[in-house]
Amino acid sequence: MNVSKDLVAASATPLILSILSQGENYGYAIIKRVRQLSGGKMQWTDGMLYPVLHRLESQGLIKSQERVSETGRKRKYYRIEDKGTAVLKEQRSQWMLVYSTLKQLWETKPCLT
Amino acid sequence: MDARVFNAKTVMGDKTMFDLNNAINNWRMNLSGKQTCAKSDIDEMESHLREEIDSLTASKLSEQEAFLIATHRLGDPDSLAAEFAKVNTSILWRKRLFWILAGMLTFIAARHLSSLALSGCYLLGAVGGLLGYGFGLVSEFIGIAVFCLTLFVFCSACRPSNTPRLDWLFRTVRGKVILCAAFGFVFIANPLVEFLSRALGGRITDVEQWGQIMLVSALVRRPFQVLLFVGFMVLLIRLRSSNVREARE
Repeated sequence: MNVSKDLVAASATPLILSILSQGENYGYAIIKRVRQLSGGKMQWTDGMLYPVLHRLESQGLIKSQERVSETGRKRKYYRIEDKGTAVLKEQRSQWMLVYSTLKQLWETKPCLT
Repeated sequence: MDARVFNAKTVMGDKTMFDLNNAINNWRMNLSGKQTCAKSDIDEMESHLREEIDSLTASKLSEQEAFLIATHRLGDPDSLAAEFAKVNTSILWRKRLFWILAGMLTFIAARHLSSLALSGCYLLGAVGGLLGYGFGLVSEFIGIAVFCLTLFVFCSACRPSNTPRLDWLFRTVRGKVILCAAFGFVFIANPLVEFLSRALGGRITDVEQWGQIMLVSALVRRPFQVLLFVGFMVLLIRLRSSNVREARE
């Protein structure tokens, strides 16, 4: 079972912000982390991550910095800004609300009488 | 014997060898041709691509296989460019503005070059004593030909896929320097030659013959301007349909 495209797109922002809230990171590692956490079931088209990252940066939620990695390769590292942390908190409560609503519906047996 | 076999193998190997850097360069060219990705965007994705290829080759895939899988995972250039277009609206407009200005400059340069050719003809004619209706007609056509040739060179330079590959004129530093020098030369030479041709022409030949040349010039130039307008309209329509074709493919 793979996650639908719409859901992948909708969850991109909270996923990226959550990963970055654990420390700064770069594009390739973010994708690898998502793949690993979802057991490979959240299939991102890798390249689509970058426009999202750039949009988040232009909104001031994250900030990028180009650095040379230990392997000698140029990488663009992103880290979360205060505004991004606030947005993540807001999104988190929204997702929790959706989750708890669905959970209640799915766990209680429908009463037919 | 052994040496020959070995030799043949290395020759074969060279021919069929997959060049990763070359492949990545082509991939970059393809993306930058889409006009919506900034160089830094492409750099970032190239770094991603290389890391993915490294990790795939570490799991015993060949470079070529790794490249194919990595580019596939990254997404096809058309949809990537479409995604970036949503973020990079300013880049898109800057590039459009660049091409509009480049087109205008080329048009001005073409007019100057054509008038330079015309004045050159008059100057030669005046010095060599070749004047009259026929001469006027020939020089007018030379002027028009130079005008069309300039536009043609510009169009070839714009389209990287065209057979006479002139896109280096815009892409390399050497090309840009040559273009600027050519513009400068034309802008300086044009009034100079025109002045000389008028001054010498008036002095050497009689007024009647000059009048004949000017008459021919006026008669030929009007229809040409109409044709030029029609030509531009046709070009615009052709470009539109070719865009549609490319999008479908």
